Amino acid sequence: MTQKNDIRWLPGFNWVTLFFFLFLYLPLFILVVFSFNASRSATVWSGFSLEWYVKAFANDDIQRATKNSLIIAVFSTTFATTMATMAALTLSRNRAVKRKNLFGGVLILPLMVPEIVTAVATLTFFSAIGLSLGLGNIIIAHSVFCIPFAYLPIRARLDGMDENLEAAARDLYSNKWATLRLVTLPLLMPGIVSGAMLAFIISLDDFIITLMVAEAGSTTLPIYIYSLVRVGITPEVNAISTVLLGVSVLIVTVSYLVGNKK
Amino acid sequence: MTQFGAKIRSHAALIPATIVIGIFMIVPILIILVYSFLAPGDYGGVKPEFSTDAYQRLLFQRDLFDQMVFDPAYLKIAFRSVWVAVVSVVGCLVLGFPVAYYIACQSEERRNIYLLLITIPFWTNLLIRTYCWILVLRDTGLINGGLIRLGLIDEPLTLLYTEGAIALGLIYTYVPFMVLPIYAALERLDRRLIEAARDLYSNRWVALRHVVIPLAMPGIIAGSILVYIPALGAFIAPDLLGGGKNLMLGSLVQLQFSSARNWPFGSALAMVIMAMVLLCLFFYARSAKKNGGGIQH
Amino acid sequence: MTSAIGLNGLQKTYPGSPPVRALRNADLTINDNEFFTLLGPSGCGKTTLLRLMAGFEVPTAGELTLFGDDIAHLPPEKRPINTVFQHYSLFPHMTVLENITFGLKRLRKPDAEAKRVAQEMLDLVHLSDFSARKPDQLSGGQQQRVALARALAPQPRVLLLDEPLSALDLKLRQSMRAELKRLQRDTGITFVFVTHDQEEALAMSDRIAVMSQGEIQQVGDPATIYEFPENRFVAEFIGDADFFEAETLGGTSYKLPNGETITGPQTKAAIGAKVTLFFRPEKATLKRAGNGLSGRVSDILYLGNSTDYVVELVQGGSLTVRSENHKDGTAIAEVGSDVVVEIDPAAVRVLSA
Repeated sequence: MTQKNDIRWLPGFNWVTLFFFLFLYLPLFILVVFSFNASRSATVWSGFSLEWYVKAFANDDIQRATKNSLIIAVFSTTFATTMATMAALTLSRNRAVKRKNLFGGVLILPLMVPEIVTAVATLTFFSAIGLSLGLGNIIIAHSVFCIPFAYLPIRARLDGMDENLEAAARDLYSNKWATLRLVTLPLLMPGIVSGAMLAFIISLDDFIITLMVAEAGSTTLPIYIYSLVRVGITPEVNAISTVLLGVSVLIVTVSYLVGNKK
Repeated sequence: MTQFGAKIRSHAALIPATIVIGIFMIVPILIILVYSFLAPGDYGGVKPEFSTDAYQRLLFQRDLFDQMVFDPAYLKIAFRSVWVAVVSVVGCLVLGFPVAYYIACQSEERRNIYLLLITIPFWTNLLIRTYCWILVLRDTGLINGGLIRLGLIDEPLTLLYTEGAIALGLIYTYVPFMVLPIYAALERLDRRLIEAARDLYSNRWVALRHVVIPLAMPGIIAGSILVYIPALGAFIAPDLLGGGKNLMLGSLVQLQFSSARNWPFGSALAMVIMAMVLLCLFFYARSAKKNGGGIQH
Repeated sequence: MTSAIGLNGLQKTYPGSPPVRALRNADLTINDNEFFTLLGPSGCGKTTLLRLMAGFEVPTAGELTLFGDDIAHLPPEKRPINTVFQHYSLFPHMTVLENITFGLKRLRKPDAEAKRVAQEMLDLVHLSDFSARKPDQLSGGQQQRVALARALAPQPRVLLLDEPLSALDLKLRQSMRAELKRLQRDTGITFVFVTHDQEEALAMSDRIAVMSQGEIQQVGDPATIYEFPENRFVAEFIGDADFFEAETLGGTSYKLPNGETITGPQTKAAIGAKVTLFFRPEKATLKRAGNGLSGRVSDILYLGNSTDYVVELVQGGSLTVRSENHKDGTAIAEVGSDVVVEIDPAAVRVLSA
């Protein structure tokens, strides 16, 4: 707790921080509260009900969209994280590689290009080569822009790791692969996990790229929600979002607690 | 040859990521660069003939007599996009800097909790979170409803479908991108430098201005870029909170590739966005070079 | 002599469970134009006391005055006191000149004057040619001088130095000692110097306050602190010492546990009281035969200008005798030789238990 006596204390900054968190959580609060509302209204509270949860779980469209979103997120997270880990290991540990800045720049390029540009460029490219793999198209697109999100935490972790530990393993008769398997990867795991989690959310959350690239029948949850926004989102969507939020908060909190114990 | 083989081997693990980004990111952008100089096809796509029409359309319109007349409509949209993006960057900075500073001054345990709290909202779909702002801002929403009930106003204020609403949505979306890099810079900042400044007759605010902010500058610049780039091409917030009349570049591009079916024009607009991003990165690289070495402690 | 800094029952307790009593109850007067040293092991409260003087911490209780004015609750920028930080804490984004003029500018001195003073300061620390450099282009010793110049430039009433020499290597440290002493004399500013290095403290200070566990143990000039320590902690922390537990026999006689008696100073303690005696190893003499405690040399440590002989006493226990090395460098005894340790009665001190 910073006290007023702390040399760094700046009056008012605590209130800005409080406001910031209220601002950040206000929409989530509305979302969760009205998912339990008895009426359709999203502004007037009329009693507690689980009706929308029941309906959401019975709604085929929501289920299909959620399933698609999860499939896409799982595959693109796996691909992006694998590629990002390999790249990060090479850039951080292999002295033979020249032009590291260039490669590093290429890896974070998807972060530097506005999503809308990526979206239309990918659409154009897929239509130019006639690629039509259903969900596969979306998985490819997501894998690409998830790479930097997976790469950055992994690289940061690697750079903060003591290279002497790996040298010690080599000294104790481990070959390159044994060192990687027994020392580097276990130590790198927190970085890989947070990179993968970040990639997973980014994929699950993506709208504009998916909208442009998706073919008929590949509706994801964001696209389904978008189609409802014009007519007004029903509390079913609140319900399914609350469930997703609950699950993810649980995962993040557990991983935070586990990570802190070490 | 063996040297080349060694080079391949040392780079092997880099190849998948680089190739995937090369094929599915760089090549597509080059393709739309080419498309922007072609003529539109009748049902979307392009016709393979060279044309600069797409770029001319940015500034001129063919009138009834087939004359090119200056038309600022698209220029206005571009300016609005840049303006809203700049306002969002400033908003994120004003809100985000104090937060980053406050968190950086906490104990390690508390810092981690605050950072966790910042990331949790990311786990809810952005469309939904933005939609919640509609519920807050609309004529019958929480703010207007509350103000009317309190008797402060009779008629609802127009909050939704304004540029202000778009900026609010963008700040809401991107403020964590501002907080995190500034926090990273401030966390590394040696508190004894603040003590040294205070010792040398600076009050809190003077120390902030002369020591903290200059040393946090790399974080501030990184955060500003991380907010500016996505804000410039943003789609969701302008679309949901801006309504139809406050068109921005992102929506305009999307429109050309969907209902308007003018791919070359859409490509040209995308190139305009890219040009603005590159300009911004160029200035970043230049300032990084100038400050280089002087920043590390 | 006027008092520059006065402490009256000054306390600092950091909250926590249990709370940390970093400074327990300090009473102290630091005179104007004095080179004053706070000496103690890490965690003794010397840095806390320095930070209280600088204004980085607010005391829990007690008075803190600067030339008679209460400053306990003034923020650091309102105190005409400057600090030389342990790791220099130079502003990395500013040049040497900008660092040195920083304080002057905050005091709203005109640019020309600030520049002139900064130049004087640079001359004073022999860094005139370095004004345009950034701190990371300087060596440790040069950064140290810039830190000094920066803190001296606003002409503070008191200069605080927080272990400023600890990051330098030995040679540089020794030359900086002389330089700091010269600077203090030339500027006439009161220096409050914090260190855990007793040699440094003895060499530079006009007066020393020895601290331990948040309390001031003894205040005095270097010779008094060394020759007449008031308690065992001070005796042990400064220099080397041989200790005896003894019983007073009245007058100047003391009985050792083994029954032998030795002569020491007059004491007020009652006959039969248990006291601790000690002497400095260089105050004893090693002889082949004579009056004194007999024993056998068990270990010899060659120290260059002197040699330490560890002597196992016949009656039990051991002590160390330090002997200056003779010109020819031959040892006066070998391991295993029987010797007699003669202790000058005037060098024996009695510590109250």
